[in-house]
Amino acid sequence: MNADIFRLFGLTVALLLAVPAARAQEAESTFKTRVSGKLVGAPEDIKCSGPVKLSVMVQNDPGKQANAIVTVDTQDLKCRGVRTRTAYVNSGHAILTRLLSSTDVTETSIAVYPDTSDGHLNARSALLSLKLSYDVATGALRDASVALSNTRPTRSPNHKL
Amino acid sequence: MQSRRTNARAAKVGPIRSKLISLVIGATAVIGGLLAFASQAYAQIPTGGVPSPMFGVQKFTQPMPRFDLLPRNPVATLNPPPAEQSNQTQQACDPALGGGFGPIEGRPPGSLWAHQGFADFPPQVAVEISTEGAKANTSYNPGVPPQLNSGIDPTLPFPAKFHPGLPVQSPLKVWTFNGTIPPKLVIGRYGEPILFREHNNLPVDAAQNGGFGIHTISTHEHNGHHGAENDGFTGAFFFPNQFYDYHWPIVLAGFRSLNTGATDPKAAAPDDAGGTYRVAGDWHETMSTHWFHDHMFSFTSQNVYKGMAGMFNIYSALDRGNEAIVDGVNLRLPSGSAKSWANLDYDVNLMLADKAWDAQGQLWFNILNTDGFLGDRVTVNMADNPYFEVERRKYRFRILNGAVSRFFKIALSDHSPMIQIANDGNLLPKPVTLTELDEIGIAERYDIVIDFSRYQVNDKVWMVNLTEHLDGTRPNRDVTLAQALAGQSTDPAVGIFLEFRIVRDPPTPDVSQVPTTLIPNPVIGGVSRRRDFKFNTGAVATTTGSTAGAGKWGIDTDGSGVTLDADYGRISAAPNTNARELWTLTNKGGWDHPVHIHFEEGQIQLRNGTSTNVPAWEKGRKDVYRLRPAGSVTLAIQFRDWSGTFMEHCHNTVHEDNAMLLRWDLDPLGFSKLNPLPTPIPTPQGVTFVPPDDILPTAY
Repeated sequence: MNADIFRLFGLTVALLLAVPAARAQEAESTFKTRVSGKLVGAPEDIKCSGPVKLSVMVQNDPGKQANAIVTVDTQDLKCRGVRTRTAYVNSGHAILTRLLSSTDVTETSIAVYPDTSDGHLNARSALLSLKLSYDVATGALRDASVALSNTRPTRSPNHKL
Repeated sequence: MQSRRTNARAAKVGPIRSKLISLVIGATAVIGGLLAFASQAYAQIPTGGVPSPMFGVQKFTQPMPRFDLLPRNPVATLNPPPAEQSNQTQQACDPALGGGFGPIEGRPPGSLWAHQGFADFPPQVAVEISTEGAKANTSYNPGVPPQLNSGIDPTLPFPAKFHPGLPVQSPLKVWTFNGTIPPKLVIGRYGEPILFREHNNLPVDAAQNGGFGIHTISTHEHNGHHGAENDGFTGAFFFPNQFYDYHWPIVLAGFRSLNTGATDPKAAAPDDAGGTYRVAGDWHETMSTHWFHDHMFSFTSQNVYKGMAGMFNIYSALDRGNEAIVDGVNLRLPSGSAKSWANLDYDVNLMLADKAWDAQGQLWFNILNTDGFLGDRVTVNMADNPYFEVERRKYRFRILNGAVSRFFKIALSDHSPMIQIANDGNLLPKPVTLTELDEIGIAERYDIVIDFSRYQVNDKVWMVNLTEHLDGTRPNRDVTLAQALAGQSTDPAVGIFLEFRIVRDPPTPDVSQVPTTLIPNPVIGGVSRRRDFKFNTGAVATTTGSTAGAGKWGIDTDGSGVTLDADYGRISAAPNTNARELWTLTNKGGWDHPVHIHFEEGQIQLRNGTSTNVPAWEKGRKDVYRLRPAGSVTLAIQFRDWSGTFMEHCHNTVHEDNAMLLRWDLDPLGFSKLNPLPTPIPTPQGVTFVPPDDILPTAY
């Protein structure tokens, strides 16, 4: 068996096993919405409000359900302590890989912390509940709402194998 | 006799044909699984196989072992002594390797592959390892006492198992550094060059690979600022019974042009008495968390999966590994304080990798899949779903995604914050506090700090993976934490994979810090050139030599319109020394590619065309650029100090092997297209050189 036959065999195997190499198609859209919510708990409650920018890159990949890469930009979200009036900031972005569907309801979370030199050591967790509506045909984000609240206490994890 | 003839052929015919031999051998091992799941091969995890049998083993029933420290020996212990040029002393070659005679060192001979700066940076520490098949570890050194290693007694033999209740791994299935687990850790510091001597003690018979992997190896120190002869070039592999001397000078980038007098107190390294000594170079280029792994052409995925991966902690005056020293430079990150530097008490390496095993419990890999391989078991430091005991204080975790094709998105089970302090081995300009880390791509490293003082003794909290895969091409989706904890995913690797047990208060107060400012980025001035790399499927092979790969994945360079298969004989780019360039990496498909550029760190300027898309955790220096489906990254990068033949490739190592990789060259002597660097052609009988078989018109 000479080298060319080896190579031919290899290429044949690769082609047989390969997913059809069709080109993907992409769509990009953004949507701005406002969020307001409250984090309840010690050392103080925190009220947050402001714009949240959602950027979505949709990738139509033949043979698979399309991905929507959702970037949640919370850089302009303003938070303030109810008791001390301390300003709180957050880490700015959350990036999620999601599947494109007409409506996508999901959650992520961000860290909210005092805008002080050691504030990042005293961060609180904020749950962002997202409801995203798409034009599935074009992949465009049509509507979005974001709610901010405390993260929920979690139960003991499932120890399944 | 048949296998020996096959092996002798493999030694002579080069990596691609060897790959086919391995493929044929391995096919018999996976064909059963393929037949069983033929109708749903692309939705099956492990990829194309059957679920790994667990022999009654439950999650979180074994402690997570800390890495195994490699001894730092005097250079005088090396025999023969290391030399600037490759040691070409002849030895008899095994008949299985073609017989005759060949050099004892596999490094290419002559001045072109001589250690650069060997006289200026003579090795001061020797690290000597043997890459070989699995065996029990009788010299485990975690670098910490048992109470900081979940009670593991290092004096007991550490068997080559993924769990005490699982079978011992065959020496043909698992190949690691020194043949043992846990994975190995090298400790180094700036200004103290290391000679890393690696012996290849893998089977001489290429067929003795347990169905996957190849016995020729090349180890990449990812992402060392070293000369190319020490970079683990994919085509500079060496054979069983040979060694290769890698010289890691451990210098700050820019040492030839910045702070050449070594006067800056931040450009320094820890001494053994609690002080520091200064070194040349730009302290903004200080690096911290590296890893090293096999980079064999067309076989990186298989060899790394078998276990050829370790980590390398680099210490500096800034990142001292001592949290108690107050000198205005030391960042005092969580570590410990008993030693002057490199305390590991509260500085923990975590290597994540998904694995699978066959009906006998032996490591299993599907070499027929070219989209990417996924295992169904998450291992941490090669231990299946372990627990780790912690004290109520801050810990630093150096997280490495050591998987073949899997991305992880990490959260804590109670959604508590984590502080990301480094990305790809580089401390960030500022810490970034997150409750869910970004998806960590293959080969990326995220250093994080978790403060366990928020918990009570006897509490537990779990590290959770939120990223679901259906296949190895890309993540399918990120599930919510609630879904992950409820097991609402078809991907068995989604959910909890590491249990933290808060076992006690710290014996002394936690004095570690996470400063607001870590390491600001180095200044990259005006760029002289732009280059464009598009990563895509549908690649074509335009060359046919022994240096050429084959596969559907490839790279289109500088708008040529042709997506090329890898060929390490082809020069695709050749920046000028000291050049600053803008490189744009674009994903032209719906898959994902974490792209690694060797040797130099880059700074992401644009993501999908805009700077506002660059998240805070990507605003430092990086060496792996995760593109995301249809995404792009534009980065600034400068080339300096060392030279030679380097690489750029997708670090989904299945994509890399099939054949999404290119070569780029750097020559300080101002070489040109008329005088390109030759390509090494290794054989057991010696390395020869051939001219590049292709030079892209835009390379120079």
